[in-house]
Amino acid sequence: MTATSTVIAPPSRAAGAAHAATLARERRRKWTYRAVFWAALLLAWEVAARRAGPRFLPTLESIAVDGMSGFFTNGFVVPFLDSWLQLFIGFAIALAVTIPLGVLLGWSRLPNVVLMPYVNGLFVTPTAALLPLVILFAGTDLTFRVVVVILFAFYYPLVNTATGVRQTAGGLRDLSSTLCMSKLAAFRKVVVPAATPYILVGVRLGLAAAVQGMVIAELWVLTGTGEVLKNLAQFRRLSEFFAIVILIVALALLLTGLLRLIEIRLARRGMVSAGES
Amino acid sequence: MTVSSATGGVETRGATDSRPYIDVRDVGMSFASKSDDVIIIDGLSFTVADGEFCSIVGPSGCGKSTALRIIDGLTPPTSGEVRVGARTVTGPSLDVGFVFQQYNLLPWRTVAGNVALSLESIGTPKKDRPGKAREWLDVVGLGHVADYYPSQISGGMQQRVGLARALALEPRVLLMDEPFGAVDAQTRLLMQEQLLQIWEQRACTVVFVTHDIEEALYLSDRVLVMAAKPGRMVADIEVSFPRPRAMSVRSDPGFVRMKDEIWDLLHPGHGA
Ligand SMILES: Nc1ncnc2c1ncn2[C@@H]1O[C@H](COP(=O)(O)OP(=O)(O)OP(=O)(O)O)[C@@H](O)[C@H]1O
Ligand SMILES: [Mg+2]
Repeated sequence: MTATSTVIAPPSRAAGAAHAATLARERRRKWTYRAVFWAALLLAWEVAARRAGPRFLPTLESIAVDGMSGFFTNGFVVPFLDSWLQLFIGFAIALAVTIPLGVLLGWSRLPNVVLMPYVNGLFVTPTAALLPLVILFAGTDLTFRVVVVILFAFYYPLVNTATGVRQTAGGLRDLSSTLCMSKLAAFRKVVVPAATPYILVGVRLGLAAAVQGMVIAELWVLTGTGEVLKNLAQFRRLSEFFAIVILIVALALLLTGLLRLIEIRLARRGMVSAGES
Repeated sequence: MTVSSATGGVETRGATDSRPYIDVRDVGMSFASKSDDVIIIDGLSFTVADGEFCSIVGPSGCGKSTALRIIDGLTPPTSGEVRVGARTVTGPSLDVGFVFQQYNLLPWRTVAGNVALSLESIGTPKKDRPGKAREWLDVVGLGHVADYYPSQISGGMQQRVGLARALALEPRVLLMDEPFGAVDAQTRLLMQEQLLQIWEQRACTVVFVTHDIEEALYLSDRVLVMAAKPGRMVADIEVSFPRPRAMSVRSDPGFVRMKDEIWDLLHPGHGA
């Protein structure tokens, strides 16, 4: 390229390829470190399990074979799916409320001033302490469990959306004003896209909190997977116990990972980076 | 110090021979701070004639951007008023285009998509937008990066996208806040030529903020000089070199003398 040229090589050219190779090398190294660390953890578990005995810590083999087969043959699948159904209902409701509310809180001063103290209060409230209260008006059925998931999942999507909308740089607000956009157009074309990375992080954190809410709700009223876990622990069927815990964590990781993937996609399209993984 | 209509040796053309299109009347701007109000702009008054090219120079922080924002209607002044054409400014209007000092491009839209934003506002039919956007990008010499995202092009190029976006409104008035501040020296000269051509063809009224005295003199019919603390006008200088102006006008003795005069106004006490 000559000094006077203002053309920048498109990302697909040679420089892009070299950059991609560097990235690939970095990624391989990252995964090598992770694999080594995981192997060490599993080894430590195995050693501890052999010394402690099956009444305290099942071996890896026992979790993988006895635990997993127990999960599928002992009728745990239905309560497991039931738990996730409750999670999805609760989480969907939470998002349907928190994202629009977050946009409102981020955009207008009055709702922000009036409502924000309560939102912050929600953050410091130990949510589990509210459960007896929730049982009072929601009973102990699906409604209760859904309400608990909503309670747990409420904070992050709400606050992140509000922050994202508020931080829509003054400059972009100026842009929408100088182009005389209607409020609706400004939201659709500027505010919401600008806040999307924040919203997605909020959704991801909210999902993690919702999974906790799901398990805690069931432990309280002893239904679904919570009840299964309680009984398994009581009767020291620890292989199955850990198998289920691992399945829950794995599924939650999978879902948050999918959300993370969407964030990366958007970041590649030039949107503000949504942060480190 | 108050506004002086001419400064030593500079020929003055009566500012009354065309009626004012932009009329800034005794505008004041202050921001509330903890102890007392900070006065950013005090008693700013000037007019810009219809079709005139007017530049504002002044030290950093003297309120140039604030003044432009007030003219556009992005910020209401604390006192005084601004009239543009027949209307008293109460908010932005589509016949005023604004080029931001900080580009303000949408990072999730392509370069062409950013220009199309203006076309959406003025109601260009959807099918005509890509072609139109492309035309305006060609005007600023960026047709070849139409499909790039802003993060993939240089700062100077991003700034030109901001210019294309304002031009796409085909406005009666162009308010430009250091539009070439990030553009490299050679491209800057090309952009100045291009801007003059557009201004002559479209007969729009331009208020152009810059730190570059030479740029201001080369482009303008008038140069307004501001001082800081509080932001106010200290000189209103008529630039009457005939148009079209050749690049060589920059080395004309009269041009050089005016440049020195403005430099002295901006740096009182430094002598010459
Ligand atoms: N929202 C605000 N609140 C308080 N002070 C402000 C605000 N906006 C601008 N100012 C102050 O007003 C003054 C003028 O700012 P402005 O951006 O108009 O200057 P400028 O002449 O454009 O400077 P530059 O040449 O560096 O762009 C500055 O001192 C700035 O600190
Ligand atoms: Mg400025």
